[in-house]
Amino acid sequence: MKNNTSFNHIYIESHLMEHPKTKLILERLQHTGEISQFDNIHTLIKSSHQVYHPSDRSKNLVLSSIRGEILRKCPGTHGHICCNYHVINQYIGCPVNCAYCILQGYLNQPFTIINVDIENILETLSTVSVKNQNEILRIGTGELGDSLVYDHLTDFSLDFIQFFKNRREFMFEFKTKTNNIDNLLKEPNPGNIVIGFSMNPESLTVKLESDAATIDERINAASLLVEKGYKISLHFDPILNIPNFRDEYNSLIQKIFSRISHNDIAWISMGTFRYTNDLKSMIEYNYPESGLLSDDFVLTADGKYRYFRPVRTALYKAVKESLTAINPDMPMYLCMESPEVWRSVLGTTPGCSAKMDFLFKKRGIIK
Amino acid sequence: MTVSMVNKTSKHIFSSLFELIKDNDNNTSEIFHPLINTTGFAFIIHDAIIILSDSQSDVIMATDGDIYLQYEYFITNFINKNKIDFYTAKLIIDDFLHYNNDEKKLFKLFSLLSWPGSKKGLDIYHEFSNFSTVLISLIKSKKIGINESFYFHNTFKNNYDELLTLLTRNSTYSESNIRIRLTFEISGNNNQNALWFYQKLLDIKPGLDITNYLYSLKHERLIRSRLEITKYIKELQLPDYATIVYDANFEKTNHTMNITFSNIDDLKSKISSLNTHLSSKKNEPDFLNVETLFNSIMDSDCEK
Repeated sequence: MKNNTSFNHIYIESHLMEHPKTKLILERLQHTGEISQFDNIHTLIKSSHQVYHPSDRSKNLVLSSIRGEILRKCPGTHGHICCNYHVINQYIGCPVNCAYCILQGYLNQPFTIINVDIENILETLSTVSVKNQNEILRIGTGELGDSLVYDHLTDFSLDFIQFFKNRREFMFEFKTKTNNIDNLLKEPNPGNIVIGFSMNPESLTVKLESDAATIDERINAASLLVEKGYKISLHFDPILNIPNFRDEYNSLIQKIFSRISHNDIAWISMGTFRYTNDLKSMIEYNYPESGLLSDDFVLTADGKYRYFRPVRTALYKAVKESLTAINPDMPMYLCMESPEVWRSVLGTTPGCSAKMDFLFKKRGIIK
Repeated sequence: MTVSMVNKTSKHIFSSLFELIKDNDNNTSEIFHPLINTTGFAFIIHDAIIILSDSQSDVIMATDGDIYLQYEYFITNFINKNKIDFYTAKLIIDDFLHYNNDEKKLFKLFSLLSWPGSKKGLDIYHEFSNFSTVLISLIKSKKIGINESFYFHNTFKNNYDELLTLLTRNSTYSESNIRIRLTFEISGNNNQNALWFYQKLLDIKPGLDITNYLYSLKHERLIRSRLEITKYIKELQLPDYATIVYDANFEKTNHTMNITFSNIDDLKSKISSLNTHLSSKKNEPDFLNVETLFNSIMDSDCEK
């Protein structure tokens, strides 16, 4: 995995110059390049060039404060079932360099942003309460960036664990493609922290996730975390229609469960590759030889292109069959899929997004 | 407004713009007036003088001021932007880079010329000189977009002129672009080369629509599904008053039936007739059941 400790230029929001996290990050980076201050991030973005490639975006770092709604419901998409997940945009931008990454189509800022004001985030979270005793709020930081890729600079994982350990109504997930878990290994799992690993067959990770940890490194990290008492979530997303996909995904699943037990799994999500028009034009330019766009894609209800439905269904069924062969009661769900595909693959739908939690309750993940 | 002296060492032949100005004579005639003692006309933009010289068919610009501002002013005010094709835009960028290599200003010029932005625009600009003459002539004649040209060129590198000629024959701008795009997309998947495509296209019967052909290559299973269900519906021989509408992308499992009727009795009668009619039809396998249709398509088409 690439060691993400070097930036060409660091921009710091003026009022955060003396923030403890700013100081910590600067100390750990030992940055010798340019450092600038700014007052308004929108002006900063406007005065910068457009950036296309994720690796260009990760050359420059912005230390900023979080804006807008701090705890957001994962946007989901029209016409597709949402998994009722909540997100905090602690990191905006990711250096892992995945050819299929949707952030290429979403982000317009030419740098990676770390929102250092963790105290504001935690303060907001302390005011959030669940509506009833049976409800559990699933929260994660992995929507607009990798939850752990900069953790060696920020120690945010320690802050979150400290915060959530006495709040059993939350399940907090760090979602990653790294093995940057040193901080997590320092702390015993309080029980409601889940570490999510994105998984794909090695033939794909080598080609399409150039700066991520290898699959072996991710599995090894998961195994170490399990020893420390953490629950693991697996994200087969995006599943890609590659030659011999049954064998490829089956080998991957066999490999994962040769190191960890199905009892250590909190949940498993599956999603096939999908793209917007913006993402398409980014992939064409950034990763022209990826072959990602060549397949039989159709326009779907939310304006995204997805594999033709029988292809998607076949992909999901292949992964599901390999998982249920390990244990028939794996807590699986589909990410941003239509009710038709849910029924065809899992035989049911959760009815509405809010009822997604039943999957986790059934498994005993949510008490 | 100040008038700078035209300095011969800094004068800039603005040839790429001349044709555009000539075409735009009505707008520029009032602006060009004999300010200085030359055979042509001149006008002032910021700190520069632009001279339109009739005898040499050139526009000459002094470069004492901020050259980007001069370009911006000139292009915004005197040029019909619709007339700037990508070939001309490339020449304007060439001109600009003679005098200024400030990246920020160059990217602003890209935007002004509707050239792809930022680093991507720069990559396309640099690769442009390696495009084949056929590709450049298609760009000049507005038969193909700049992005499509770039990706097509990058996919097939060399020796693509015959394929390109075939793909753009008798097509509009948007049709050419769709064909080009489908070609490099399919090629990306199958690792096929220009020759393979060329051969495929040569095999097409005269008169067959190339766009549809390429679309069916890219969306083979989708097209097969549409053909199968259309054939199945046709074989049902529904009466004229009833039509079945299916989701063209098969995202939905259910279909819609439209029945034309005039009153409730008419509706009852037509539904009853439909029931009788459909009962008499052999309906196995039932391709209105999308899962059955999919199974049929996927069974005959093993994993890619």
